[in-house]
Amino acid sequence: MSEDQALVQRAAAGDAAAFGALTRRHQSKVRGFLRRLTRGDPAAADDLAQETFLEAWRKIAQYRGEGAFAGWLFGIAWSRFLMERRKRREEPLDDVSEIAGADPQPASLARIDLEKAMARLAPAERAALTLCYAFGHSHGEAAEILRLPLGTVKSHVLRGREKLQALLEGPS
Amino acid sequence: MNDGRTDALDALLARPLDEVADDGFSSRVVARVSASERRRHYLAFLVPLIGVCALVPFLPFSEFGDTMAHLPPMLAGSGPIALALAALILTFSLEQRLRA
Repeated sequence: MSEDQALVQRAAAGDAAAFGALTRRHQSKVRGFLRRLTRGDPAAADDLAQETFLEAWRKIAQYRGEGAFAGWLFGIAWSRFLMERRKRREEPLDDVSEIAGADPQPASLARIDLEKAMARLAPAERAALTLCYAFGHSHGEAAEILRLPLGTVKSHVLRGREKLQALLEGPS
Repeated sequence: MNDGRTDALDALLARPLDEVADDGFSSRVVARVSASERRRHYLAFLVPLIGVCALVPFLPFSEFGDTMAHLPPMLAGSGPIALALAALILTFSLEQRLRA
């Protein structure tokens, strides 16, 4: 049994200290993921991360140990992010034309770093790319975490990469 | 289609995210978890209590009092109760003698 699973079992039995240990183990990943989703807004990301962990505490008995615990947390974080965004109506849900329709002033690699380029992608593309590349999840795992069809996730990854490449390369 | 540019982009994307220092984040989460648990426990105690209090005016206390007032004479006049009491007294006194 992994350390996460042992802690999950104790937390499910009401052990708040075990849940605290789980939080300490995973806070960096969850907050990092949410910072990317919120386009680098640490305050908004941390608010969402707190809500994510509170919801995880309430639902911990529902975690059946299928897949990594971090993946389960990412799923909650993603749904929290979507709920918050719907409330604020910040940006359209599937804005894939964000880059294509924008004024083409693509910055050079020297001027724009990955995070700035990421901020210009649609949220689902940011999430899919982050899960599949930075956290090493398979497309299938990312599809489960984001509750999207596998084909949609693959398309988000492909399109996101293309957009990033265009943004990072700048004018040739 | 895997040229140097896509390799570089893949490497950039695969770079782990920067470590986020805890800075009390986990403690705040645990404090909120503990607070929500306390609230849950209070609610688990208060809701039934409020329910019982709400029911009190509708409980048949007068009938209950009447029944209680008639109970001792009823018990005193009951043969089975008298036998059971006698059996209890005998058992108790026998036990006391055996211990002595």
